[in-house]
Amino acid sequence: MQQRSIDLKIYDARDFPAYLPKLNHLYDDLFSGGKGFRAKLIRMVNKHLQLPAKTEQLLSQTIEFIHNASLLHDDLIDRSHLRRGKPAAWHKYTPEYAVLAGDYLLARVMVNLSGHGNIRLVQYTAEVISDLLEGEWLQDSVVGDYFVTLEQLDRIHNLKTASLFKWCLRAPFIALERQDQPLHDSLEEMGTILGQLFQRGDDLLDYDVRNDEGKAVLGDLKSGYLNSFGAFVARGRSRAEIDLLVKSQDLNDFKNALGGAAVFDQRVKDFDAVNEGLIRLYRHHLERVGQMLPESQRGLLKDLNPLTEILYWRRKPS
Amino acid sequence: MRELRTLDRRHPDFMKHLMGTFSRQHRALPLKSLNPRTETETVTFEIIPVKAVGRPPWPVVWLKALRPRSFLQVLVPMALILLASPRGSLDPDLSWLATLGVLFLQAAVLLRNDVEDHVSGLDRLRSDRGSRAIQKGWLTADHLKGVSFWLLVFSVLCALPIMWARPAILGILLVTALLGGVAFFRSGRGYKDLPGGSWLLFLLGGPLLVVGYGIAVHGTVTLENLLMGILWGWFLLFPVHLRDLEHLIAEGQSGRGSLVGRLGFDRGVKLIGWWWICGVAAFAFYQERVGAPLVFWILLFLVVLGSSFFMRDLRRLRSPAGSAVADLRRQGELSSYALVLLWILEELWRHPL
Repeated sequence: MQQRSIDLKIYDARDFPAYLPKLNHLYDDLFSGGKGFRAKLIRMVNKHLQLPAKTEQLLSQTIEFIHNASLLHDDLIDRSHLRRGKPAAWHKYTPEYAVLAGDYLLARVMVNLSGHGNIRLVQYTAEVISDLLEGEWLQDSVVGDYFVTLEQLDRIHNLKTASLFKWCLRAPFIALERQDQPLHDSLEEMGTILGQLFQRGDDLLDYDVRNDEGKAVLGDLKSGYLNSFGAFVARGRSRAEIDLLVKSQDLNDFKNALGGAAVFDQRVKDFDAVNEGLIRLYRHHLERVGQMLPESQRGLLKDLNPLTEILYWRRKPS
Repeated sequence: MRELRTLDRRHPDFMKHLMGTFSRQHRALPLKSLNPRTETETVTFEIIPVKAVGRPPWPVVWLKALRPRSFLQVLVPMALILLASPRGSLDPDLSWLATLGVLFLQAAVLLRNDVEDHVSGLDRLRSDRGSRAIQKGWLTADHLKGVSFWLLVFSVLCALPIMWARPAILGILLVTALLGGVAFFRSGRGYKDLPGGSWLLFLLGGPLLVVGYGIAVHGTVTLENLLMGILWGWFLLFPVHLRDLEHLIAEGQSGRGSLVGRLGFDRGVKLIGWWWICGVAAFAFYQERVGAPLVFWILLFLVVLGSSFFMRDLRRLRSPAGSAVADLRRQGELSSYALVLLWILEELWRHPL
């Protein structure tokens, strides 16, 4: 079987019917250029679990299919014109094609997984897809809401972003038929924390904090979305003060509305301190997982430990 | 570095950590909870020395734990009954005893409620629950449980002479004790998840309280007291429904079954709208029956006019996520406070002190 390899997102041309016009082109556009972080995470976990290569391939493909399906739908809902520096699928093809292509990826996930035969894995994956869609639905209702709280955003991010991280950590163990509840509880918490840290780190880029990727500054705010850092700094402020914050034309305006650059820097430090608490919790659960793994699988801890550095601090681990 | 400890409900020390009885020198503060309010709940506690808790002075701690504002739930109906009672019909000694007894009972219920919410996981699911004195480590759930017990004993002691003087109250107290028992001693998740949980609160905080207090202070059951009780129970549940709507997502994810939670968002919004309309209509009916003066009707018209903003925003509400639902809850509470204030003013107008 000839595999078409685009970065880490491996799929076969025969996964998608050749008689459907534009579908393969759409997927080629969609899958190229992504970092494939989630598939890498699956492989990182499996390096220590030693699932057969075919299962690893299935899991990697599953998570990338789900993730990319969510991007297809997400771009259409947000009316984003660009994805990974190229025209978004709904814009290049049509909104109808983008919806169908996203749905088709999710359907393929179920076909592929049910063929594998692990019903618990099928069930868990279906739950994650439901969570993702719930998160998307709820997120749409907070666009333009500048008084949303960090707690409310966390709830949405937990459904939308963290659910995939949880899947990456838990699914290989489910595929290995390791179902013990305490292990999965800790993996679930770790996934939740990773998702939250990833989202919060990403949200800080919007305020040009550790923005080595060159993400557009105040992009979220200008498109009507008060992200997690925005909600954090807005907490306890009056409506008039929040109005001033959201009307900022650039970062300097925002800092001035907040009370100056020093206040802004202090709020970043405060936000970092909150997230340090999450990182501490992540390490605690990592230790717990270590106690539940056999010696042969404990190398996983060393690989999972630096993820918080990458996802929140956006730096390569020392 | 403070220790983190993760335990699930099946762990033999889980309840000791929740109740705060696992150590005399340390407190276990719930930091994160997975699957709150389910049998598979797993809680990560931060174990901190008692000295490091950062507790305010004791009077402040107890003031926070007892939440003075919550006493309005009993003070307002008691004041209304005292105002509406015919002059000379009140027994001053029994009135004092009944008032003290109800206040002790309310304090006992508030504290016990916080303990129940902590044990069942509701306070981890909803950050608006209770005084947060347990969560901050100022007091343990075990402390509150003990104090709640003694407050209940004081309440019963106050009730004994009333039972002797007014045997008619025995039936009311018996039903109250029975329903209270269901509310707080039902194994599992308490009354809040019962299909009729809201109605239990309605009965206990509305008709039973008002009619019982009426019997205690003037010895009779009047139709006016009964209507007052029903109306008060109605108002008591209104903010509960609003808060349940605000926390609909968290509750839905945990499978918790408040009335609004069971109805879901769209029907929950309709319930709240109709609850308000029926409440206002019942209030107007009651006031018409007792012969409220013209000035009252003018003020009622203004309150209803003011609450039209609440009704408008309720109709516009599209999701339980975001800040709109919290704003709506505040507007709803404000409207109901205005109505209660109007009720007190009207009683004062008709029965000047």
